[in-house]
Amino acid sequence: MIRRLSNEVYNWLDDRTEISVIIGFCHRQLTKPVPRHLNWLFSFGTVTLMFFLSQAVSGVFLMIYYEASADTAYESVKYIMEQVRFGWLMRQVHTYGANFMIAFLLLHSVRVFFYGGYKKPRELTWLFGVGLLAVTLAFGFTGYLLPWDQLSYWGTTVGTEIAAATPLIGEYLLILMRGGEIISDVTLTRFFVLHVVLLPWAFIALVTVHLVLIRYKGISPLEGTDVPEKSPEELKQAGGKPFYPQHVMKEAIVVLLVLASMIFMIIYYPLPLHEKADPFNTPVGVKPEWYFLSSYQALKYLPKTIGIIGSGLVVLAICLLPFWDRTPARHPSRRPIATSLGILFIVLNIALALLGKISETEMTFMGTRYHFDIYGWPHAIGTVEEPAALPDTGGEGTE
Amino acid sequence: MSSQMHTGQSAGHRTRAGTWHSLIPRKAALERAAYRARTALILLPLLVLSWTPVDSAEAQQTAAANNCVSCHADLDDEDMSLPVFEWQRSVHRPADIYCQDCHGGNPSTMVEDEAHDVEMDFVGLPDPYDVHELCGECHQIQMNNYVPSPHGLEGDFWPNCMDCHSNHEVVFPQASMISIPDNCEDCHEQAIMDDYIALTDRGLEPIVEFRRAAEEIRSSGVPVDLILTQATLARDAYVERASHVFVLEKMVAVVDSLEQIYPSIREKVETARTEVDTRRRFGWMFIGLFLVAAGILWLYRRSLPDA
Ligand code: HEM
Repeated sequence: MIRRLSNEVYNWLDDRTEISVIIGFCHRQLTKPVPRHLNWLFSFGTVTLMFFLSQAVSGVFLMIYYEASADTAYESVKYIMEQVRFGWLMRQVHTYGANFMIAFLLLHSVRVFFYGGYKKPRELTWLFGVGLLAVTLAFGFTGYLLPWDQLSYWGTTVGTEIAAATPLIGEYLLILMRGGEIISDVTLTRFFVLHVVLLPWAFIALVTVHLVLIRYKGISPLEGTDVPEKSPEELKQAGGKPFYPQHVMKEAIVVLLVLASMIFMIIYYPLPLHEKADPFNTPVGVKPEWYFLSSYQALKYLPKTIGIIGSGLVVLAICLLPFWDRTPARHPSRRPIATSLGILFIVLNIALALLGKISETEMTFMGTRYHFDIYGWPHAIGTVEEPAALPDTGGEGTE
Repeated sequence: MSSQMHTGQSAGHRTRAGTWHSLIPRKAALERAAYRARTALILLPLLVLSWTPVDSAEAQQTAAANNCVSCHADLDDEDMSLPVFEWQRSVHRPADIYCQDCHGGNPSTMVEDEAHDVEMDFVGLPDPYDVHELCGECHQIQMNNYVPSPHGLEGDFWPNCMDCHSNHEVVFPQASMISIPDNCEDCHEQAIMDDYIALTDRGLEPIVEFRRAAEEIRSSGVPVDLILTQATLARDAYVERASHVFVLEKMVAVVDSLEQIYPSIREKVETARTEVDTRRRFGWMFIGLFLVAAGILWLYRRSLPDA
């Protein structure tokens, strides 16, 4: 009975809209087989996409109460966290989501690199991917300023200073980003516009092309580019499973596990809102977010201009990777040089980020207190018992 | 006679700089500011720099421009070099309290005689009888309570600030310090000290506990501002009326009145904690839900026919 009714509705609709064509198309796309070698690592792209959607939803909720001006931004975020019903949840989901999204985005790029997924004929997929990486990092950079607390204010000050080192246009770039000499109300509004208008649409445009290209070309095989790629039918013969439900289930499981771990982090390690930004009070050891730490640290070791040009070249090399690495092999074990270089690059980045993390801090090792300078090198500053006990009364102030 | 050296310091200011210096109120703190302004006039470019938001590296450079430290750190005589390192670890360094603020002298020269010039108000060892005035420039409430206390005028300023809080490596007051040998035991019986310790604990520990709890809870988004404000008010009341008073009866009255309000703060802390716990419980519910869903999908996937 219900079946008959829904059939009638469907036919009625189809007569008028030819919806069956669309549904047929979707069905074919969904059941298109994917290669056998797809493992759990191949779900990172989807996890990233899921986080984008989650960011969009939580972001809209935040925008309802957020007020982008130097006078009100901090207070409005505090209000969201403390007064708005489930405001704390929305902010935590959004802030943690940003970090998770970037983490999985990096993992996804690494996965694509090691599986040679960028090779012919998927150069464009890679290029649009790099565009997405840039947009996502820009999301992180602009979003970081919005709460207008000490960390975000000074983190952004340091971050924009890097741009100033660009030869020729550096000064101009700095003024353009900040809208003036220092980070101010003007900076906040332009970052806000980028964060909630320009970047989301840029992301949507790029990701659409990215996904269409992936659907169109299919996930890359493990064989080299010199072996002709299999058609969907051949894939099926070779043991490929349909995208839906087999692979989709795998992705859904990963998404659920990632979300569960994010909830765990939110309830046990909520990300705080720090002191309100104070342009006249620089906290010591200001650092950018973790995903910028390695490049930030690398720039410390190099003369400014060389550092900027160097990192520009690295970015260019990554963009153009599919065009200069044209060896046919895809399987990581069949291209040992690329694989080792990739591992080296990752290790180098992690090491730099760690050096950045400990730089300008103090730590005690076996009774000796060390100060780590801006390069992350330790200097002994005397043997100390534990640092003076913490104030019993919260510090006798200077009354 | 005992305060000779110290007042001599301010007198020096007045006589020497008869013109614009005399316009400045005699307050020692202001004098210090004036002294800084004078140094800054000489180092005008540096002053300009310090008005623009400096980054941390530059800020460190200004601190390093204190030449007392540059020389003393390398002196062989430990009595002369150790204070530098003690001070560097102390709360006074981040608070911008430098050598010259207590010892006088000229921190902007590298020439020994000029640095230790009495014309520049150099005092080697501040007079023990004046120490409270030196510290009291900033810690006024503490000084005001201390001077009329049994330790102050009555006790001929013994012990003074340094006897309990140390000098270069400034130590925060801790109840545990009260029983340090040579600190209190010489004059006081153990029973009195035990009473004293118990009393400070009773007055201050709840405040510490409230603060710690509030800071812990804060990032979860449960409002704690009220808890913090009330804890601060309670601490201020204690500092103002009970700290450095050293008369047990007076302190008991203060602590008793504070204990009247502690339960209401504690209740607020508990309410906030409960809220955090509720959130955790709901969080775990969702984690469980997601894990179960993931498990079901996994089973479903395994049940699919191998294509
Ligand atoms: C927010 C950003 C991104 C999203 C939502 C996204 C999404 C996806 C998805 C869902 C896939 C399918 C396969 C898989 O998940 O592994 C994929 C494949 C791919 N992605 Fe991304 N991606 C993003 C960023 C990037 C970046 C930064 C790069 C490279 C720098 C990249 C390069 C590629 C390439 C080359 C493929 C095809 C891989 C193959 O066929 O083996 N993507 N992307």
